[in-house]
Amino acid sequence: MDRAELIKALQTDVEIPEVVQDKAKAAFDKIRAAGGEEINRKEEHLKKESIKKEGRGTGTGTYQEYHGQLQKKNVKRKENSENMKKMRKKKLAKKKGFSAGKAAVLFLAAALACGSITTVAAYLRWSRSLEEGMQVTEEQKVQLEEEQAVAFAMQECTKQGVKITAEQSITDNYFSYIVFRVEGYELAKGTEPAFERMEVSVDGKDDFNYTASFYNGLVTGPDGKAANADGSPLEEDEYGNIGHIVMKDGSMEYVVMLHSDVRGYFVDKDIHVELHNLGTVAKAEYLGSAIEDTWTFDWNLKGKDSMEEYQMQELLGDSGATVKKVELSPVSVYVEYDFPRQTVTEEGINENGESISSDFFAEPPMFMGVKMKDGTLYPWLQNGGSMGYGDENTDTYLVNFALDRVIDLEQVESLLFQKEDVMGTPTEENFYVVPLP
Amino acid sequence: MDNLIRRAKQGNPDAFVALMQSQMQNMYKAAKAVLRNDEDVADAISDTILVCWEKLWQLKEEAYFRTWMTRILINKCHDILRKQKHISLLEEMPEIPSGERNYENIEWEEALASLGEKYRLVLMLYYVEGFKTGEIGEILGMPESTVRSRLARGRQQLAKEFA
Repeated sequence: MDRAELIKALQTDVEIPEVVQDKAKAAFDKIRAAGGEEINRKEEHLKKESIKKEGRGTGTGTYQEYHGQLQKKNVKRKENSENMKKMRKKKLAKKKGFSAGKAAVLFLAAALACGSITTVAAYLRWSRSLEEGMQVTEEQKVQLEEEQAVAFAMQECTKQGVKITAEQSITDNYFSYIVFRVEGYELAKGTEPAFERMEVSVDGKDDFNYTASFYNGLVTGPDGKAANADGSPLEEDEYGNIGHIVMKDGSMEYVVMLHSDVRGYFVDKDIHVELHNLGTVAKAEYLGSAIEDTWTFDWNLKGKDSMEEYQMQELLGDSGATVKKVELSPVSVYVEYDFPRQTVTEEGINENGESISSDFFAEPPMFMGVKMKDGTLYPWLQNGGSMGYGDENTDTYLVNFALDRVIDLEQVESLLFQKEDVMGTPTEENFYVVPLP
Repeated sequence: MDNLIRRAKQGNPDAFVALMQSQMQNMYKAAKAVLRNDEDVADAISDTILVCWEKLWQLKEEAYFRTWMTRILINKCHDILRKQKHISLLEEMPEIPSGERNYENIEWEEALASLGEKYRLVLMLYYVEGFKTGEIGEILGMPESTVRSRLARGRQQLAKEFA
């Protein structure tokens, strides 16, 4: 055998041994089971993985949820009479804006539920996950605060020595980022923290999606890969974790992202959040609760309709997709395409070695980011949301993504749509560049 | 594959399973270049599948999926080696019981065994998995120059072996 023959031999397909197939199958079954549970049940706890939207998002589905880094919502639809009573009380007290009187009512309601609310912070501090993770400048902070796109709930609830503070939220027409600070919980080495279950309602309703995870200090670098937000070199620990969930002061931040297709759904709405049982998760499995308790919060999201809206007819190369409408806010984007449906078949091999194929609709060139007036490219802005055809009978394809950083709308020159796969730091040539009108 | 990755990132378990199934040959060969027995390879692959499902959100760009997944796999293989303290035993590939293997597997494992341990993984990732030297550097956590020199030495060794 010469060198060429050796390499050819190594490139030959081999029979995967039974023991390998069996263990892989067990892992797949575990994932399918976890996915199935998440999709079908409404009464069980949250798992630490992304799950497709119930009743949607199948292979040829319509408007799919795109969760990126976060979790699928698992909202209980049964009415919790105690919570609803509190919500009704809050509605009675509701005035436009967020007055001191209203805050007092909200804190009282939360104190009754939590039982140990201790204080309200006297100053408004940006959370690490929003300030660092969303890469917000001082100027943007001031602007977002002035526009009341940001709310500082600053409610503390302590149970069994674990203090959780509903710190801050940023809300626009389609999304709301909410941050909880968790203190007094010692995370076991090699594990990730997780709440077993979370319930969220906005204005007493839960017909929206939410996803959540603990902030780990990672952002997307210029080359599209994970990078530490603080600029330090990326390091991997012995368990394969590259993020740093526990901050230097021992606290952690839990970030919840709410998403609705209905414009303005969250703006100036009262929110009720219950976090149940704090534990750890590893390898797609909730490992149990270290602390069984419930932390409850109520406040007003405030928020701002700060969308810039653009009508256009921009054909994206020879992709067949035409961008018709774009709404851009500092933290999200909504795009409407005209994109006639094309069915695509993807081939694969299942665990029994049998060929399988699945059909789904091709996607239009995806919104990736923006080009700023100074020439800077932000090509990796997607941070979860939804995409898909508006309904079964239309060729209008809708994309609604949260952005992974706050952008200055006045400085946006063009939108970037994916033309090809990019390895390394992309240039304009890698995108369809659509100037804003 | 991009479409499967995107759908898997949406949280679609069926898409994720199909995606990982399409990578079984690649994963098996890469793991086998590090670990000597199939039980360990099975553990490394099943752990990789679960970790990829859990951490897929960390992957921003679909084009990096194979590099990212292979890096996780190789780390899992090294974890297993560390735990078993078998590193010193791996200088030579073990005898392969051939009774239950088909001819293709025997030939493949013999070819694999003929690669020196030090260069085996780099050669596998380059010639079999089709990664570029920069990608191999990222997978193995070493500078691209080291990858290039290992490839060059691996080739020299092969040239000597098969002269």
